[in-house]
Amino acid sequence: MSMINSPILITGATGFLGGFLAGELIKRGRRTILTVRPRGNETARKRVENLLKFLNIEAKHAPIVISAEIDTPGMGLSEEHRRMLREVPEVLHCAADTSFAERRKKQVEATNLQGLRNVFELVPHCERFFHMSSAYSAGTQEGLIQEEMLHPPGFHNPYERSKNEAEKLITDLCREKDIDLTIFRPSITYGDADTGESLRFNALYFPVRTLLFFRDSLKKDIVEKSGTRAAGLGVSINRDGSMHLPLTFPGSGRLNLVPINFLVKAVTALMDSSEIGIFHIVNPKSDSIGQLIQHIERHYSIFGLQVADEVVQDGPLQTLINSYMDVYYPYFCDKRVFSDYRTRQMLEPLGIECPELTPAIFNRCMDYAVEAGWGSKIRI
Amino acid sequence: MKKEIILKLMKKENDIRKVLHTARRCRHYAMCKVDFLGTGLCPSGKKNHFVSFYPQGMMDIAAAVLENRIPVTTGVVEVANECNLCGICNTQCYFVTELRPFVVFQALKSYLDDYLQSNDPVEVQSDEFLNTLRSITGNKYATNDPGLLIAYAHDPCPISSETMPGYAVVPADTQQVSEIVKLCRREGVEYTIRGNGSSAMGFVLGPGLIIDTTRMKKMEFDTGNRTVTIGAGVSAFELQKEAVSRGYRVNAAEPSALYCANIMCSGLFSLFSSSYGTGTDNLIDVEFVSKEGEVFALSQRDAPNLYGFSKSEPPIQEICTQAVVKLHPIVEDEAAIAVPFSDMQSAVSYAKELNRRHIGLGIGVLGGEYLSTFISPTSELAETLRNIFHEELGIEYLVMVLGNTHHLEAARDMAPVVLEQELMRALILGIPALGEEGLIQILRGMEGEEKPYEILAKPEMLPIIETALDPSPELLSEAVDSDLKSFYQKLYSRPELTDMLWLNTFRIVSSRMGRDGHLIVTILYVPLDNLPQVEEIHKGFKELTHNSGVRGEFGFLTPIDQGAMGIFEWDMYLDHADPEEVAKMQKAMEKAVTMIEGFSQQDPRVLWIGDVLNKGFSRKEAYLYHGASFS
Repeated sequence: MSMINSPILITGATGFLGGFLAGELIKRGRRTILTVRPRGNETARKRVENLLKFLNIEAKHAPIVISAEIDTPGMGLSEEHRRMLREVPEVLHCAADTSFAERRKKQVEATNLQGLRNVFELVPHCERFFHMSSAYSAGTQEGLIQEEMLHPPGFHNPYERSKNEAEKLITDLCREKDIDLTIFRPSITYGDADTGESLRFNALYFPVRTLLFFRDSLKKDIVEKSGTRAAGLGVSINRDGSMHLPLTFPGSGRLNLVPINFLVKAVTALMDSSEIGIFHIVNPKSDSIGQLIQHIERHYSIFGLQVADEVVQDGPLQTLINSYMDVYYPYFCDKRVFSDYRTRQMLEPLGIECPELTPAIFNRCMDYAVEAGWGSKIRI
Repeated sequence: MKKEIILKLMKKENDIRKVLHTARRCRHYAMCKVDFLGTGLCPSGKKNHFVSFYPQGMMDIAAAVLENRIPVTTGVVEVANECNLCGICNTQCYFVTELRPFVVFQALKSYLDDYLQSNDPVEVQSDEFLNTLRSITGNKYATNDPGLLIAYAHDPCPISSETMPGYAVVPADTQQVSEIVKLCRREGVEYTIRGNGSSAMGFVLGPGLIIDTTRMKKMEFDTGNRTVTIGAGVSAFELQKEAVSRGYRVNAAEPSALYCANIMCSGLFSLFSSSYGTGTDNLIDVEFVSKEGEVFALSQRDAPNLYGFSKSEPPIQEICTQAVVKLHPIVEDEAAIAVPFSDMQSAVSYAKELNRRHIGLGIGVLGGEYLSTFISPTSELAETLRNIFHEELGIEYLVMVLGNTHHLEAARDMAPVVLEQELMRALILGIPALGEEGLIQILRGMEGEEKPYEILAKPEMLPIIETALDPSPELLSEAVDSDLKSFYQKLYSRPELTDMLWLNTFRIVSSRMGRDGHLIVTILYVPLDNLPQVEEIHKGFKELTHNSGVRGEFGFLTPIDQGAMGIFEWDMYLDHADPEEVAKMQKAMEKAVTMIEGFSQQDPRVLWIGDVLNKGFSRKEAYLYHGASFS
């Protein structure tokens, strides 16, 4: 059971997973300490205020907000704040740099590895450490991925490597100090299946955003200009107003998608339990890219999208889609199975189940994303 | 006092504050002395020659009058009366700095209208020295009126102190310069030479006589010999324009700088220096007036050896009155490409390798700051673009390569990726749309091993970029003040404004680097066989500016002499009207000099502009080949 009256330190509380999880714990009346990085003119406190407003939460116990830079030694904290963290018995570590970019490798490592070490060093009396990892810390490992420490032959990007190394690092650190460690490995997380709300609009959202960007730019060219650019790209508008966008997506394999509200329920339930170890927060019924395309076509009246086994090289729009698929191929065309045996054992008795991505949920989430300007209108 | 009167006074005071804010911020860069936008020149300046009659000088005069630092003299009144408020200055100055001098001149005129109702202007009495000066040049071309002289009390160096001269003269030719120098020698009057009412670097202030060479406009082309003879009053822009119209190009630097003064100052460097050279590489002959007032040409066998160089010797005292310089033929298939990089070493290596292999007419490694400032019509957009280049696209450096088809084909072969002219045109005209949510975020989201700029640079991306940005002069003009929109539409309908080759030939957008405030340019010659040292120097400047609390950015690096050396520029920015910032900058410069000397001690081939300043007629071999001469 979690230590309900003692404070829990949450890192990454202004991020996607950390934000929703912090919100849930605050809503439940949990005493929380949030280490938050100021951004631009927004102070750490202001960012948390924005988060709580966004989540529509009135805190029974106002969170203690500490301005911190996770990748700085000692996180740049004052002595007073260090003293405060010294007594913290529980940590939920969600702070992470999720960039796949090779040029950000150093920053990704600084945040995901050195940052983790910095956090750990500040909580010498920690008894329980919850670490948010990723199902994709499995790197290029194939087949059935178990809820256990993984030693994959390679990684698709610096992010995967850092998450895998972070798991090993925190395991060693906790073992040394005899701290209970729980590692969560979520797959691709999207918005709230009930409300559509989200704080990040990458991964699942990105191909939709790209297609809508194509649709809107080309529609403008066709309706307001001569349409020569659109014609040159093989794009046209049908009589019923739908758009023909001839694009091909690689079709083999599947995507494993979980909504944030399921992740929150699953993680908090596991935190409430006394179980430790590794838990896959995944969807037992993964989706195919073909299904995703069907959702897009139906909802946005875009046609001409195809699925093929091989990558097609044909035209500028396809080049751009291929660039995207180069990065996301391992996640969108995943042939692996993530075992969630341990997780299900814990969640099924509680009636917690991952929903399928139905057309209704897809539409709700994407409509929300469009309304939120793909995140540009959300200030946290 | 009645409320309305108090309000009126408050409004007036507020208006004066705004006017002074503009007037004090003139960069003294002299762009208002060249017709770089095709608007024509300020009619008053063109007619009266003294810089005092150009917008630059009028800004200084207005500030001094409104602050009661100088009396209202007949000169001040003449300057105000000569200004017909045509508004050319507003268009020109906005393009460079976003300043609007027009309101300053309106305010000056209005102030004088009030003042002269109850006062007479002060008439400054002539003296014997001035009378003799006038007998040499004609009455109109020499003055001791502080109302006119205040315009010569500042120069483009933002940390120099105001120094009021006693006299100013604008001679017409070499003979007059010679007589003036002899007169000064006789009378013991100190003189200072100024090109164009300013020079690109500054350091042209003096308490005695200012000799402004602006009237010496001789320009004689000898295309048979591929040379042009130019007087000391011809600006780089004027010369380049005439040369290009004849199918030639000169190696020219800042457009507003007078060509002869620029050679004298630093030996002329531009991106074209990678093939046209620097120092005396472009000189056939030069005419000087000596300290004694004697006229001589460098080609004379008994002429002083100004080709030599010694670090310890003071700058030369001779006055360059005209020069014969080389014309380089333009080939019809010349164009430009830009090659982006995410780190300095790769960018410099590429530039060096091109130069080592004689590829390209012009080569320059530009910093993201430079590029975004150059191509953005406003400071706000430049800031957005800076972020886009750096954060979103991952472009830290851009190597600009200018050359003919064969040069560019080879440069493409050697480049990791290339931003072609058509793409650059789309980006320049589409800047306002680049800042909006859309294309850039899509590219950023696709970043993995492939950097966003690598995706952007793919040739097949051009139609998507054009569709997404819908670039046009109309779109670009959306970014500027509403009263200038139609002017900008017409301006950017001219293909040259988006042509990288033209922009590098005429360099009109490089003046924008002073848009966000004034700047101090530090230039070094660095050996390119030691690239880690170049990075060390770069890092040193970065730390120095950070620790000194001033904004500093890498400017450019041009390889010269087949990749042996590089001309390296680092820029530091300030608000020169803020004494605290000036003081901070002075300290930063002191530290910079110490740091550079340290680098020079490590490797004597590292040389900075301070060592070469006003020794520009030295052969580059005399200062770049350390330890290789007999003396």
